[in-house]
Amino acid sequence: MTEVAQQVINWLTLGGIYALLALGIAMVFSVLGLINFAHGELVTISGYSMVALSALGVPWALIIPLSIVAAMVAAVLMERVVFRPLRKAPVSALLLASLALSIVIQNILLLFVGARSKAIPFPAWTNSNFHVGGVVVQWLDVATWVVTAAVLWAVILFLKRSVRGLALRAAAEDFQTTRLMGIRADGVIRGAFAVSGLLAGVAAFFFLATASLVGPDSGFIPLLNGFIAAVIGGLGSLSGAVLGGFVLAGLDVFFQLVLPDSLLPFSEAIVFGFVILVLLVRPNGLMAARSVAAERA
Amino acid sequence: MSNLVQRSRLATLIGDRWYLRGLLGAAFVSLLLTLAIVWVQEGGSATDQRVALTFLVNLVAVIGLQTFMGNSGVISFGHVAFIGLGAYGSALLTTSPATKELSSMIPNAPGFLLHAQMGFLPATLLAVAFVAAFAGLVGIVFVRMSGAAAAIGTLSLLIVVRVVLGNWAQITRGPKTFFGIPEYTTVWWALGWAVAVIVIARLFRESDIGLRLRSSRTDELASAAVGVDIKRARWYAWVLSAMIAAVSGALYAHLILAFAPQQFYLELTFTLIVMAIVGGTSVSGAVVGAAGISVVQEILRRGESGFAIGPIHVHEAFGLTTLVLGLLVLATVILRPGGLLGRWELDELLVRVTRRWRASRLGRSKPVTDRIERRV
Repeated sequence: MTEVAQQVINWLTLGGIYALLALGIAMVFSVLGLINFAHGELVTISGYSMVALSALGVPWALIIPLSIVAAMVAAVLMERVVFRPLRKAPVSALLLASLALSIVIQNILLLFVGARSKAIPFPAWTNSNFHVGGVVVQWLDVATWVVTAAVLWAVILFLKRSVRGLALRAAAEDFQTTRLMGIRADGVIRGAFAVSGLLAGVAAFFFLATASLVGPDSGFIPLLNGFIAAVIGGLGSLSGAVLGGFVLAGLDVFFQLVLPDSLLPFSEAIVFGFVILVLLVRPNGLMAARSVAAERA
Repeated sequence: MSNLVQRSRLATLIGDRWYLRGLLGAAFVSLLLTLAIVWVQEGGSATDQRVALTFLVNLVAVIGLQTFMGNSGVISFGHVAFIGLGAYGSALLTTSPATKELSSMIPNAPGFLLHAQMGFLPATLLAVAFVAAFAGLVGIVFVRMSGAAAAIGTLSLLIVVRVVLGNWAQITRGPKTFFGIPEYTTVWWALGWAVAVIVIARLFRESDIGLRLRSSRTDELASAAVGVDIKRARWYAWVLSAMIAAVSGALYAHLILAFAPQQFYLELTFTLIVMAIVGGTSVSGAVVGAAGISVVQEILRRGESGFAIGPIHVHEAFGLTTLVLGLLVLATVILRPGGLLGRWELDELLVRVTRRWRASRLGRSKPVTDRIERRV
């Protein structure tokens, strides 16, 4: 029983982080049709700004919002510098550009900051825990749930109640028609990148807190997990991305639990094999039908 | 068309025979390549020769990638998986049984792999056959994808193969280095394979299936509407390109002699994609891209020992080469989306130039055929 509760806790925490990453990726994809390979670098940039700010003696109460702003600024800059000149280019060109951008950012960090990972001096509470019955709960887990829920709720509110959010959702459905309705494309796209930066910045704190380290290639694992979650949820679907995050985390936890030790190293291969299968059988995602209905509601 | 501009005798001879056009074009490109390699062999230093050899092996891989990506317009991040499989296949078949039986190597591999010891060519061909079977099977899935789905799908394939190679210790020695592979890859082997692969890739491009595939690249809906079976055409390209990639894998194996699964992963994928993107979508484009990037890489590698920008002093500039490659891709995609040569072969460009020259001699400022071709 306690074992199950422990795994449920792991699942919720992991799922929250994956959902934040996947939603950020899906946000940009739904508007531009771009799979942003540089999304992971937003996490990295956020991490490095934590290192820099804490070295300057800035308190964590300020570091957290500032590191999120750093990711947002980086995301908006990416759009302005790289993706805007490619607005009319085919999807494959956008894809390659984002891949190249990700490599460029990684190697700039490698060149000018160094290959060795930097320690992030996270505040002490992220490493403390408490017991409920026989179950160990990290304060970080609780923070992840609360913040993820709050951020997702705020993003949903923004998408449903504000004009800009409405424009974003409309653009996600049909960008051409949205433009014909007098919504400015630049604003919508910039907004999508800003929100994806915000989500990446929030995810960065929780993702990096477990290892307390950030290196030039820290963005790769969050990127991959965000991709898979977004694919499972159906690439263009926003609510699907959130669900996909929790499904992927569920798969992760499930494999850790049921696979024998000899097969455990292959769990990654099984997950990615599953992704290929999803792309083939349900290219619009596992919850395609449900998510479209949910978004219309 | 022949009424508008006087055709050369060669053009009349080729006429509509696609295989003649392919063979002559491939011969032209191969001749340039061979001359360049012979020139390096005669006058270059040992380092230059090593660079030329690595370039040839990369070239085979890039042509493999081009055969699929260039003709179909679909991105693949998965071809390095085929290179890895080709490398392990050929390494397993050629390494001496005494080495493989070492307790630190793979003493528990199945007997036929443990006792096998073949020559270079049969081992390469067997590895290629194995990869062809594997690619043919998984290809059924991947020919249905394009755009973003293809990118994530093929990346997933790369990861799956990498995880399996890295954990199947019984055969691959797991994440540890597989060593003791005989050194077979000479510059002449590599050049021979490169020329063979150029001819094959060019013939495929000019062939009926190649033409159909290229039409689907230009407009998927229109080409499907006139009856092109896109999935089928893609499947042929996928399998052929995987086989070419496997050849390059075998060449890699017998060039670097010891490797681990992580050598066939993201870094190599990126390098090959850069070469394929910068050159253009034609076979000559692959050659030009591979050659250009190899030269850039080598210049940067020699400069990577250290430099200073203002107050920032960098002792060892790790990452400089990759940084420049990334910037080159960005520049190509933004400024010259088709790559250096676009969709043209070198010989096609040559024909265009001579045609323009003939036309200007005849007093026409611009040949009509040229304008027609441009619109195609």
